[in-house]
Amino acid sequence: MPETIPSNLFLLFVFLFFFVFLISFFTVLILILRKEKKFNRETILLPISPSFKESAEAMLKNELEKSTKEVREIIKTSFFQLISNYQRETEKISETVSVLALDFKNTLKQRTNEIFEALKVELKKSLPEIEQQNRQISQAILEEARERITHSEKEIEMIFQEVKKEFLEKKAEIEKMLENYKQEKIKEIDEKIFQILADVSKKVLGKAIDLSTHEELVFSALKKAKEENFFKA
Amino acid sequence: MNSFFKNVFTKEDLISLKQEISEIQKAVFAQTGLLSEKAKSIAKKELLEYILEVEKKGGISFNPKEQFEFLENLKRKLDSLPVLKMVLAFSPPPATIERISQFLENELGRKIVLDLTCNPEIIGGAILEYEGKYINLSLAKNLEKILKTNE
Repeated sequence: MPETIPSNLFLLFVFLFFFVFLISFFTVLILILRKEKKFNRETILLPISPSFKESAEAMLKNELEKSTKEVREIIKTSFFQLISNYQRETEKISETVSVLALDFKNTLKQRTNEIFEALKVELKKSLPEIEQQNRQISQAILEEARERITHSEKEIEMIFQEVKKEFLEKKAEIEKMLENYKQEKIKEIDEKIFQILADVSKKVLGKAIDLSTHEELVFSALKKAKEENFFKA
Repeated sequence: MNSFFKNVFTKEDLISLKQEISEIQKAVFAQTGLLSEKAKSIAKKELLEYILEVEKKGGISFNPKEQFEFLENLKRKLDSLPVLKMVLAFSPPPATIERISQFLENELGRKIVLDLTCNPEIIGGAILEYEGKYINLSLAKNLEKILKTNE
């Protein structure tokens, strides 16, 4: 609104200025024409002396200047009056706006305070409910956390049991493998010992046995074979 | 009666005697006369004595075919002798072989040809194989048994 007022006033001012200018122009024209008619009606065509003509022209010029001056004064006065009016109106509007702004500010402050108060009241009213909800949510979170912990504990226990079982199985398997390996090695060692003993005995005995002993051994073998019915069909 | 293979103790002796008989067989058709005459330069003492003994008893005619058949019968008799495979830990001298052969003949009541092999690994005793049967009576085997029992 404060922006539209100057533009309207400016238009008004231009219009007034134009209007005053037109009035002044027509006034001067009427005055000239009236004088000329008066002269035409009352005077007889007389020869005009140059001095008279000069004085008449000077008078006319003087009058014209006078009229122009008056019009200027009128315009100036109107302009100042218009500006003065505009300033007054502006001041009035400004005052009104200030009053309104102050009023609006006060109203806003009051309204804000009211809203705050209402909010406070509402908050106070809702506080127990919110607290209750908070407690419920906390309780629910706590319950869920407990359930999850319990579930996790069970899962950990299951994993632990599985790992333990697997470990024990692997341990038993390794122990069995070790036992087998041990037995195998013992067997190998026994066989080696046996082989060594056999080889040593063979060498020692082989060298120690003479021909007659060999013969005795052969005959005793043949006798044994006969006893065992080896030669019977 | 069976004196012609009296000195056959081993498989080698048997092969040698069969070769001897085969040589006589070759001479049977080349000459005429008694078989003992034909074998005189080829046969060894035991075989020649046996042929003479049979001739005296009239067991061999002058017919070369019959003579050949007689010799063929001898070979068949030799082939029919049972063979005992023996693995010994030593190389037995001829006297030992003879004693073994005699022992077997006395104990079993029949002639047995020995197929001998030497393997010192068996230490002593013998491994026997006879008519599809096998027995290990070696000292090595006994030693293994003893060692395994005391394991």
